Amino acid sequence: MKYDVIVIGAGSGGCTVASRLAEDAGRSVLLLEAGPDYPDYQYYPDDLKYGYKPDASAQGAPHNWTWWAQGSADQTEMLPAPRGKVVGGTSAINGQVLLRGVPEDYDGWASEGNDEWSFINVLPFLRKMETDMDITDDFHGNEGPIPVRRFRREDWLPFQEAFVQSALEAGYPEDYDMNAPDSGGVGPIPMNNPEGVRMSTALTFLSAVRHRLNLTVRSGVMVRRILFEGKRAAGVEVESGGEVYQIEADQIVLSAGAMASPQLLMLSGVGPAGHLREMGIPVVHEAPGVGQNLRDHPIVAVICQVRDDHEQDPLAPRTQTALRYTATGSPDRNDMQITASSFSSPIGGADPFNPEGVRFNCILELADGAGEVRLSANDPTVQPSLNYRYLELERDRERLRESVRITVRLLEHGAFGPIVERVLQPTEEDLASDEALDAWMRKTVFNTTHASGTCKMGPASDPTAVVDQHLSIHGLENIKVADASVMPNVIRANTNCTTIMIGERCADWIKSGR
Amino acid sequence: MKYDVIVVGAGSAGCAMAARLSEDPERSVLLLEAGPDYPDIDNYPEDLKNGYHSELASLHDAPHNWSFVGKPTGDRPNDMYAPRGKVVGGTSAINGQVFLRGLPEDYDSWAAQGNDEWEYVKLLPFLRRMEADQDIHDDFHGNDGPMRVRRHQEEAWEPLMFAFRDACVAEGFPGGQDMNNPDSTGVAPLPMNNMAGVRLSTALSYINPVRHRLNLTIKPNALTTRVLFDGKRATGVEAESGGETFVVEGELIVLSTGSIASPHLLMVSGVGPREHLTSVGVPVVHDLPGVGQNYRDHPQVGVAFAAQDDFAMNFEAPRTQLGLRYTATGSGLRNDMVIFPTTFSTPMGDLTGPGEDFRMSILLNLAAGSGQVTLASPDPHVQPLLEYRFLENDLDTERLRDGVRLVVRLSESEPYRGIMKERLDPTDEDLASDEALDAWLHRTVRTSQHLVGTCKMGPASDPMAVVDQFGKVHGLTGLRVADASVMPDAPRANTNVSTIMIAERVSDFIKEGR
Repeated sequence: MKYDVIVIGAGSGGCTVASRLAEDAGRSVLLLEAGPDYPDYQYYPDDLKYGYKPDASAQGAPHNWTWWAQGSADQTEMLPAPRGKVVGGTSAINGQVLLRGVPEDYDGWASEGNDEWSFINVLPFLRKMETDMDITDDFHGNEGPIPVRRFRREDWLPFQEAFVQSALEAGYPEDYDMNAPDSGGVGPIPMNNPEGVRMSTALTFLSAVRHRLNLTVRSGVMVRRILFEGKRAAGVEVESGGEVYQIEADQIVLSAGAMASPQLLMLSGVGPAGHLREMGIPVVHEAPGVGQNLRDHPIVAVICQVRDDHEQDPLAPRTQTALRYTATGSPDRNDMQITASSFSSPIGGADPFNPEGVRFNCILELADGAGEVRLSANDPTVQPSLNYRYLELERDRERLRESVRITVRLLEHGAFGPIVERVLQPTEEDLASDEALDAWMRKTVFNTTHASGTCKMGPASDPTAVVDQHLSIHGLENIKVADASVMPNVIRANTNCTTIMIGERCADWIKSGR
Repeated sequence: MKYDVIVVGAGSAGCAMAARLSEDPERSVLLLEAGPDYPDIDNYPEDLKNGYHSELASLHDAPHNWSFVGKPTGDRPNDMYAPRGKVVGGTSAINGQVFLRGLPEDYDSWAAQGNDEWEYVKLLPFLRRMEADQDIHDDFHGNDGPMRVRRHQEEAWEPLMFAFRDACVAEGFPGGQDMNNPDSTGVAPLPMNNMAGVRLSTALSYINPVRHRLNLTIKPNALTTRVLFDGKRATGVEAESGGETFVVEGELIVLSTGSIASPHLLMVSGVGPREHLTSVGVPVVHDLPGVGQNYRDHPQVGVAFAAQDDFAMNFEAPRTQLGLRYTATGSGLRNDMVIFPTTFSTPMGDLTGPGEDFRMSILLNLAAGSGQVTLASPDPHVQPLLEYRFLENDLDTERLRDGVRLVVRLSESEPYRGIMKERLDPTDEDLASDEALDAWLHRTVRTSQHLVGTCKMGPASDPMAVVDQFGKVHGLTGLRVADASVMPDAPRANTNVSTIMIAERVSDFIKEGR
């Protein structure tokens, strides 16, 4: 059994790659996913369908890998690291923000030796994926599979309205179109959830091509390793229903995400040679960058108790608006984001409907710090060790501190009067000094599930680059990586949109033989 | 994309074929089905699941019924309902769940026609390996196979079943024998592939346990429109899926689309009687006069009764629990007749209408006459013309006439006192003379949906043989037929078991390279 292409992982990247490749009836494509598949929308599970409720990404939820990660060195408990385990991947359990990186993100990748990835080169693919229901112009697509919309102001919940008012009066510009290249400020977030339905890559890209006889989607299939003949990827070894199978392909595309893609490469003998040897894995190819450069968006939450007479609906949309701004003195535009959540439950708690109040999320969109993914066992069923190493750099702490203080200042605005009773965290003591605030942040920082960077792209001259700019793994043949792991640096946005764009580009290059 | 084997049609035979062939992980198997697939038992539709209400699934225009129509006799219009399953599971997913083997003489007669691999003693291992008989453990029954078989025990019989059994025994028929025993006859509970009311189709029994196999690909909602040939070699199929047309290649094509669609598909692909194909406008690939001929079934009539007013009808009961097999007077063909009593009934084709309470159906289990399937159009979407030509043979009419008189006698015997109020059809006038009764038979005779014979097996010396005894189409390579159409004659039993057995047998031939 030999396919033209095997795509590993049916997430944001994998569904996109497989769907686009299957457009050519002459190409046989096998899409492999460890989680279940719900091809019939009639039976699509509610946790995946209804995007306003965050229960899909709760630890232990049915379609969550429920992995755990070390946040900062000061934390004694592991952070939840939700990843989607279902056809649709994390796009099927996420927060549905379809926000592009700023042009400087992509231009930054290009300047590191990946000239195909300049903003001007990726724009057609950002447009191709979407149907923006609100905006028709040169920067937005209107014929793509993913529907995008923004909450209209009349539909904003009171806390969102207060947040926007406070930010506007603090001098931040109004930002209606966050996907416009020059935008910044406060406004509604572009979201891929019309009518509250989370439009994953399964429901959008894949649904359109499931009928194709050259596309085979196999769920409940755990890829154990990639098989190599010398330096050539020849197939995959998988487990399905308790049996082990080997399947061949002319081309392997690894789209298992920024945690599982490096894990699978290392299990297959591709990665830092010393680490592989220590795990007892024969080295197929030394690639020191595999698993390094784990990037994400560190986040701390300012949590408020609400007044007794402020009604909260756990089923209502939680986040509708955001503020993007540039930290004082930072050369990196929009390197900070604050979002307001109209319903907050304890972070990492098992019950996302447990009311805690309202929350401001202060997010470092372009952290300097990076962590790593390492194997914890030579066993594909054991999650790798994830260490974010958050807030080890003063510049990261400084920007996040400022964000907390900005939030506290915004809270003084009268619009919050009918809503907020008092700030639960950070306390006055936490805010009393930079040192106290740092300690609080290092204790409470968590991740935004925007893991990226662990198989970064770059020229062969960069020893830590794992893939070249056409996403082929350096030093190996017939294998590409197409997911968030190839991003050289984290983008200043939620990662779903950019991951899909990477899938679009990968498919395009395979089609054109690059 | 080239598969080792493409199995066309996921019915009784196709599901068993695909499941057996995919036991070897090195063999890639594509199973194509025009109807939908329900891999998740939680979402399995009620009409398919509920075997006691078997009409739910086989009613004309039911969701998983092709809803064909046919012409029962030369005098009657082309409007007799001919249900065929359109779903993964095929007609085994909509049938009456009688799991009855043919007699040894049936199979031995196939062998006598030049198919020595099909004598009863050679088939017995395959009849055994398909089943897990829940009631009987002996040399004639299997206990480890995928199809679970059981009989309604006396404590679960409806009152009408006791009346029927007692009337039959009083008439002199033996009672209580195992109907799948080679020597049995008389009245007994039917072996049924129905557990706790659930119809155990080949989809549930053969396919569900092997869906995890990576070398088995199931594509539902894909209508195969043509077998493709390179000269005399079948190279693949053309199939429609989601409004698009695809070509899929296979080293071997196995047609398991049933006695209507197998000859239909062969003929629209250019394999069949030359003159007929030419007259319809199909370019001839290979002249095979037997394709579509020898269309056999079990001609059936029903005697309908009204129950006494105080006799409670149980509409939730299984409709059929017992059967009577007997040999028509002077026929010399053992068990050539069968009578199925219902526990309750509504007029044919009507689930709700009042008008009758119960029925006894008389089936001519080994009719002398046969009909034909011919193309109505070269368009694969147009149903072929189904001509049954029932009762053109005097022997058939005579035996069915005697069967009606036997049923009348049974219904008027002591055990039915207090149950049967009146016979609704045929009337006393219909019974007054053989001529009147023959006229009634011609008016009411209908299909038992036990279609066989239209691609009959036989040696090359038989010009009407379509396949050899290994299922290979004469004169062509890379193409086999494995379904009820290869039976040279109807078995004296409901056809599901024999059809599954054919798939079991031919799958072994394929594995052995025979």
